[in-house]
Amino acid sequence: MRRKPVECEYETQALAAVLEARWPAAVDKVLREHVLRCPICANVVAIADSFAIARQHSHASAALPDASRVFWMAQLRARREAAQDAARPILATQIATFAWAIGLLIVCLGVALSWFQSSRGWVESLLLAHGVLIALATALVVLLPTAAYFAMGKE
Amino acid sequence: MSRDLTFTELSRVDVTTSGCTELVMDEETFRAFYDRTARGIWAYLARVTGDRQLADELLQETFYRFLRAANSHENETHRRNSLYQIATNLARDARRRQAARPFADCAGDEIERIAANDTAGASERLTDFTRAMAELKPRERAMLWLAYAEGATHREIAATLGLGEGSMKTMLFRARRKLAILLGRKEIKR
Repeated sequence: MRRKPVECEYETQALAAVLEARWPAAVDKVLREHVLRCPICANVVAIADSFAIARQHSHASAALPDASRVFWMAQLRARREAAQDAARPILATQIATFAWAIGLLIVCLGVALSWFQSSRGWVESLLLAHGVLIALATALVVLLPTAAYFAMGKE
Repeated sequence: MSRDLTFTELSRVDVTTSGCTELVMDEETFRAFYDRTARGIWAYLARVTGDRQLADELLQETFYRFLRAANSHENETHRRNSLYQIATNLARDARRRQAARPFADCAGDEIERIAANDTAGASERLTDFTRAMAELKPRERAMLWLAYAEGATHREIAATLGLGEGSMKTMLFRARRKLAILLGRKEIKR
């Protein structure tokens, strides 16, 4: 079975004739008669004029923002996105460090707990003898990095 | 008023003389490119989405993505094709998000706007056209607009819409026939 044609060699000519406002009066007889016989070209002629009108009116009615404004907004948004992209690895590093610190703390606590249980008597005597000194040292170890963190954070 | 260039006309523009060969556009180059293409892109977006307001939003997003993509473009036509590809993808995404607002929404104010200086029944024909376009699928609207309003070739339409070039002729033929019938112009039988 022969396939139905989907394009015609006169299609471009027919389209040009409509877009250049030559259809139907100013086109040659051969093309005019062809369009009347050819369903493809007939459809092209039928819709091309409507597209020309729609295009003209769409272009005329478009309220476009100024090119400089679009460019400026694009620059602004690009900078903001670049800043966000740059901040992403820092956040990832912070999360990784925090997770690592928590892990280390758990390990240390585990070790300390087992050690504490095995040498409970010795610790108790040590706390009684040097309790104040140990409390001061612990406070220093915890407070000093915390203070440094907040100070650097403010900067 | 000077009209925008079609794809075919743009292929003849020599980029080496127009100074548009840089990868990232400076403002001056962008302004010139925007002036040449923005109206066409807006009209395309408005016709494909059927929503003027959405077309306004997507226009800015299209140009933003184009500027950010920083692809190397061989010439003005290639650059313009990229722009239409971005616009097509954005319109497609917007359509999925919005779950199809009625297409004919855009027709009303446009017709009113032109009714004042209507000549030879242009507004009537535009109404018919807008209604007929509303009956088509978004892809059919896009391919017909690119072919008959923008003068794009089959290859350019296929690339813009992400379709195979081989099937483009048949798809365009069917869409055109459908629109012609909707416009009330019956096919002339052999």
